[in-house]
Amino acid sequence: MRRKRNKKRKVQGFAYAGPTVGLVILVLVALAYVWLGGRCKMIGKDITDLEMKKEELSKRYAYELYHWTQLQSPRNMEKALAKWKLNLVWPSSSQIQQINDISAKDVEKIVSGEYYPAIAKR
Amino acid sequence: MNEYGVKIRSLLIFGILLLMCCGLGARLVCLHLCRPEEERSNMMRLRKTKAVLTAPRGVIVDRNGESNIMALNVNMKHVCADPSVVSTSALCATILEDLSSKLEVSRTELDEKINKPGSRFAFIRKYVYEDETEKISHLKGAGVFLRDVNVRHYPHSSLMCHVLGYIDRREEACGGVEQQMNRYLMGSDGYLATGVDARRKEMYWRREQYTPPVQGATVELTLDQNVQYIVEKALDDAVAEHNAKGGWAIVQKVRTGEILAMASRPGFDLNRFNVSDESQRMNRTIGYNYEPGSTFKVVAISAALNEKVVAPSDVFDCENGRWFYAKRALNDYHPYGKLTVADGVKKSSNILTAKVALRLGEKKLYQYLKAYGVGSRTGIDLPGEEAGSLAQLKDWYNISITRIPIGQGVAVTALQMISIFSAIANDGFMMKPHVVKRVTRADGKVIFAADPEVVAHPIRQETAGIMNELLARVTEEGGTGRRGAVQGYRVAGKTGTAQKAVAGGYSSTAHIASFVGYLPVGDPEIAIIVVVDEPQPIRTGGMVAAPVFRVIAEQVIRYLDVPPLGRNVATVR
Repeated sequence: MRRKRNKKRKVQGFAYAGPTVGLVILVLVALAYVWLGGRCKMIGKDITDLEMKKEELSKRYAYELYHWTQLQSPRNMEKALAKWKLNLVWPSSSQIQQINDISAKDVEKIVSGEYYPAIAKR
Repeated sequence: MNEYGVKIRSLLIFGILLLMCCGLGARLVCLHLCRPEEERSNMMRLRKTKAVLTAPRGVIVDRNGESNIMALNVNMKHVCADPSVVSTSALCATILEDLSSKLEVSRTELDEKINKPGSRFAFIRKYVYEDETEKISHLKGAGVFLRDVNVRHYPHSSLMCHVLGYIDRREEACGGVEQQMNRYLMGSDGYLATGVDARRKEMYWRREQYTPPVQGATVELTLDQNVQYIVEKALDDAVAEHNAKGGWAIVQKVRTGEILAMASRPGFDLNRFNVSDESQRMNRTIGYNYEPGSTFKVVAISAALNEKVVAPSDVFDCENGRWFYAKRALNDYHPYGKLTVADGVKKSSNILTAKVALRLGEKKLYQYLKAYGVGSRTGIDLPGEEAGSLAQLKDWYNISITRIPIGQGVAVTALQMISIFSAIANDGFMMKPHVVKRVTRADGKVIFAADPEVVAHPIRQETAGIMNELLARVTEEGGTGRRGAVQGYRVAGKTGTAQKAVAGGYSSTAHIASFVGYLPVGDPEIAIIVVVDEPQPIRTGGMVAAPVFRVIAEQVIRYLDVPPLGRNVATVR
């Protein structure tokens, strides 16, 4: 004879499935919120650090600009020329050949070699 | 364990946890709401900070743009020390020795500053460059520290000092372009209101307000630093050679009125303005009135030619060098008999000029003086310009008609004189002189650009042409300005040797030597004026100022690559 099934027997299992899942979701959301908050703060910190770095670089740039300007000042150029014994002189009028009555277009053609190909090859 | 017991324990634990949370919550409520208002606002205040973000000042560059910076802001350091730490340190002597040698501060001065154990702060040296501070980096932590400071700096020291002006320690603009263009250069300050943490470091997510500072505009000058250097060097040599009190010079483009160089001696170092005096800071090219002497003759001569009351070939009797008018003697430097107007200009005869002015008449002469801008400011974009001095017609003496045309009894500035000559060179059109070419915002937008402006037309083109030829003869052989001639170019010019006014008359030893000219004749590009104050022992414009003009003109005309005979000429070197 088959044993009677106890239909009234309650199955002992996980009875609070719904609220637990809800709690877990809540916890996950809270963790996500905290994580996002932390990320935002990190990004904010990065932004302020980069802003400070930008300022430092601007100052550095200004300083290098000042240095470069000083280096190429007329006084320093003169000193450099004197140091390397580069004596630059203007040519005297006897060293200058003036070609009168010539248009600018003709000069261009001469220089480009249209008239004298030998010049272009140099 | 029965079910009832489990339930009780769970409830107990839950109750304890709930109690703890309620306690925390109550404490939070207490902290936020139950504090006195003053205490709460104090706490809020400490968590926030507000700051004005100073806008970087704009840069000043020469006509070649950002490659030639004349003024900019750089970050420097103040080297400071804590005397209470340094003086009590075992290595005090070594530290002081290091500071003294590396920063070039005298040991006595250092000892004075450091030997104050009660003091917590002392400046060792101010305004030190960053690379210099690297030499003392090993001393940080030994009571020596650095403070950042942003300073207006002039890389070329004294070059263009009077044109640029400077910013003093109170951040105020003093003189020159710094003052004139201050509203463009200063930029707009920014603002930051934000929250900070316990270390006073900004918490970006608590930033409430942020307006970034806007950098000042870039001011581009018409001056060229290389031309300026040429002029300043020539002036320095002349002042030294002739033991002069000072000297000043201007180079101007005649067609546009742009100033290429403006120099005044004595000068000063813009980075050390605090050790300069008023005499050094004065821009004599626009701020010093002087009697021009013979250079002023061009006004009366050109006026008479324009009115056609004389012609270049008209002959006048120069009375052998001494002539009486209204019982007062007028002398020539050399005695001449009869001279044409052309020769009178070449040899700079006072008597001829006076007679030409008499033929012109007082009223007409006065009209031309006003037309040339004598007694009025030119309106240059620099502060401190003087107007010169010209008495009103009704206040003229009976001999004024013979004195004013030769540059006595009238005062002008060097800028006014060069404007007169530039007008003659520019076919009779007087251009407004200016030193600022363009102002550009940080974003690249041009907010101001100077255009050439005609301010007067005192003489006709035909008259200007005649004057060109008359003045060109001055620099030829036999002319007073032959030392101002430039090889390969025709130069038009006029010398001037004016006695300086003293109480009761004129000095016999103190003179102002000057030369004004332009080149090349025919198609003038630049005009130059050179003035030397009290040269000794040689005092004449022809011997002192004309050679300086030549030195400047020779270099500048080639630097600008101006061909000698006009534009359609190719030159092969």
